[in-house]
Amino acid sequence: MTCKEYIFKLTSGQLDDAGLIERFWARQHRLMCRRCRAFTTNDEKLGVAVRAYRAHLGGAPKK
Amino acid sequence: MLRFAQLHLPRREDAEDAVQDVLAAMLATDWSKVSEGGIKTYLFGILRHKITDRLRYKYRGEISCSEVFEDDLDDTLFTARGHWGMGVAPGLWSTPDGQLETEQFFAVIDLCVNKLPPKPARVFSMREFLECDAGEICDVLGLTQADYWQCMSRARKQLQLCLNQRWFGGRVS
Repeated sequence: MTCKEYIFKLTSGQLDDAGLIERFWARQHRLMCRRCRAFTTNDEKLGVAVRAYRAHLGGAPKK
Repeated sequence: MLRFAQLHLPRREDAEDAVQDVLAAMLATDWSKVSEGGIKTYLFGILRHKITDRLRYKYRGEISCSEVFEDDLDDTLFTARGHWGMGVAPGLWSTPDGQLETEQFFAVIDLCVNKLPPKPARVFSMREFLECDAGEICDVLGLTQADYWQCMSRARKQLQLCLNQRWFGGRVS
């Protein structure tokens, strides 16, 4: 798996629905690549920030 | 509510119409069935439906795979072999507790979301701000699953790069 492939799977949301084998290879890639590791951690923080921003805009969680 | 609507509906008139629809729905509401604490949730729930209806009507079939975006961010980020290019990968963000929930940071997010290409911006805002699921977004905007993935990926990559540049000092790893 290349960095480009890994980042696409992460940012598109495909990893969220991926099977065990694909998640295993994604984790292997993260272990080897500090840039993708940093990008992944930042992406998680981005998710937290976007949720906080959504709440800030007044949007309550959808039921 | 108008500000929220304007995030998703580019024309101010459309956003005002959506909010007006909510106000009209309020008049027909039996308030005895809505708890006081749930009023805001109830009204934003209606607004979400009104925005989604308008997006469905306005954009159905308009987005195709070939016109998702004109430039290719990946050519800037990655080498031909698929590895990170030199000096482009964002550095690890260090954030003290609460720093990402300040008015200033929200203003930067707002700026970065508004700098996204229109189509990824629409998909991202439906997913993250309207909390629509992927199937609903594809249905409303007439997208294939592959187009949806492309749009979400573009939006999240560009947002991280934008925030890295404008908030985290442009550090690279």
